[in-house]
Amino acid sequence: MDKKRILIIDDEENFCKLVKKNIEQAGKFEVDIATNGQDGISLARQIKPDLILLDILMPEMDGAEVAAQIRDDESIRNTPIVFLTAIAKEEDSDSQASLTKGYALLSKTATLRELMACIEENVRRYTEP
Amino acid sequence: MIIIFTLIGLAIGYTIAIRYQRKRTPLPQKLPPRQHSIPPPDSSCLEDKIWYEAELDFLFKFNEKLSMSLTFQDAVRCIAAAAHDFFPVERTVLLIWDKNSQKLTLACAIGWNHEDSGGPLVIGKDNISGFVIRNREALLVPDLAQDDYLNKMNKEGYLQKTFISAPLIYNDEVLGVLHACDKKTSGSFTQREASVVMNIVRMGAIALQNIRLYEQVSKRAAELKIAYDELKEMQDKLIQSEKLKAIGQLASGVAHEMRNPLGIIMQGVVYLEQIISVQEKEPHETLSMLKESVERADKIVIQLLDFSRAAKLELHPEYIDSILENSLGLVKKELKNIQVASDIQKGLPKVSVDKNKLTQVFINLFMNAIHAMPEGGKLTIRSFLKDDSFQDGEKGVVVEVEDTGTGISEENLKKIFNPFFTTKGQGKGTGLGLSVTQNIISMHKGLIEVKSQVNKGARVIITLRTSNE
Repeated sequence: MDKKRILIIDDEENFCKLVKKNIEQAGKFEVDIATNGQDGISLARQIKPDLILLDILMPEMDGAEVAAQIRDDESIRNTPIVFLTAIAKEEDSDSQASLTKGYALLSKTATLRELMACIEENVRRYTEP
Repeated sequence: MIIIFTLIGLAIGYTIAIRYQRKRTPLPQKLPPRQHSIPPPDSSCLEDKIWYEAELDFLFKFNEKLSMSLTFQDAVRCIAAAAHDFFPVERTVLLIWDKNSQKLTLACAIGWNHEDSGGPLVIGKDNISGFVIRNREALLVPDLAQDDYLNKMNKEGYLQKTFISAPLIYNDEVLGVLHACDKKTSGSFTQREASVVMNIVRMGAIALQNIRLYEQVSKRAAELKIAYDELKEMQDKLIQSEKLKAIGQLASGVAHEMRNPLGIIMQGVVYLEQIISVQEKEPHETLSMLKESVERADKIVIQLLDFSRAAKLELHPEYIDSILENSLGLVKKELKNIQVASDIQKGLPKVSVDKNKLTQVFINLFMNAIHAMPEGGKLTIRSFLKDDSFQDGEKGVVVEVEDTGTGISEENLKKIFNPFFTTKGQGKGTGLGLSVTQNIISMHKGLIEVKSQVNKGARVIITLRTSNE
């Protein structure tokens, strides 16, 4: 069985690299990285990932805008998106809550177990609707 | 012709004279004495000299007593008593004049009870007191029965036979009238005695006016003090809430920025944990220390975010005892060597609160109490209903959380609600707990107060409004 592909879109390159290493360590997933919103969308169109880990606060194009463009694109609109957030709970910020409504959220300081559980749950939900 | 004019002239003159006579106000038979000072003694008369010295001594003592009277009523009593004791007389009555209502009010009566005699408590101007006030002069009446004019005017039960009536005048303003009636030794008052009364009323008027001014100033000062206190309290609240808002915004910004590097460190630690063999103990120990630190920093960030969270309350009528018991259950494993005394009253009225936020408040308070008792101690939790808890007179449900711990110094007590103020050691507290607590309580329009003495523990008193449902 082919490995599932995960795309991380986050302007913190070091964060992306480490998350990539940690996810790939488990052997189930292959991870691609984009460090800005525009590159992320292009890459998503190209590789059609099974899940996108998307940072909310990014310069130029923020996570909400990236998500909106992905949902507007016929070819990738059904890709599950997990928002990477500095804020753990949905209720924490009104503006964030409205932006990320309906999306899964994952804290940036999540442990490996939390990270993998979140990825697996959202990939499964996508593949077994 | 000349005769006719003369006759007409006489007729007109006569009419005018009659009219004038009819209009003329009749004067009392006995003219009041106009003496305002004690006549000097007759140096040739020994009796006069002794009398003069006795007067001076009496007035000196009276003045001393009068100047120690701090209230209007005290001064009134002092004046009446002086006049009463000097002669002495059967009855002394002091009435105070109110120029706005043009009425006299009984201020002090000695030897006469207005209720027994059916006499007036408040009287108008058409009587002997009114006459004294109108004329602004004292009366010395040796025998009222002999004085038709005054006798007709007399409606005052205390004026019976012989009396001195003197107005209290200060700076041209009439303050009242003093009556000293019927000498106990019988006989009429002498001019000398009248002059003593004149001195009593003169000194008395000055004292009364001063006390009036003093009372006005005191009242004004008290009003200003209240207004100032209210303003100060409002300003403090405003500053506190602005401060909290600013810190909230800052905290939220900082929290976002902190989480990115923290995320990188965490992912790095996770990665290293996986690639370093479990056999290599020391690197793994180092990694778990790193991990612990990241988690601690993360906790602080979460608290900052809690702090800055938008003030939204979900109010529902709740029983305080269930929130308290639930909160206590959540800190149970931290209690260790701490004994809990619970005096939580059942069946108190419901309070309108946000259950989650209030749970956060009680957990904060319990944890503070636990941290204040590292060697163990007693945690007391009370709840009860209290009347008149709020300024609007509403009753409130009071919760007290008391510990027997280290206590808080007077100086620190002023700062405990300040954000980031903490006495806990480095890395042990963010100093936001009580600040958040105060914020939540004030959002509920409740009250929070902390009482404490060093080494005698601390007591936090929270008062919440009861629910109308």
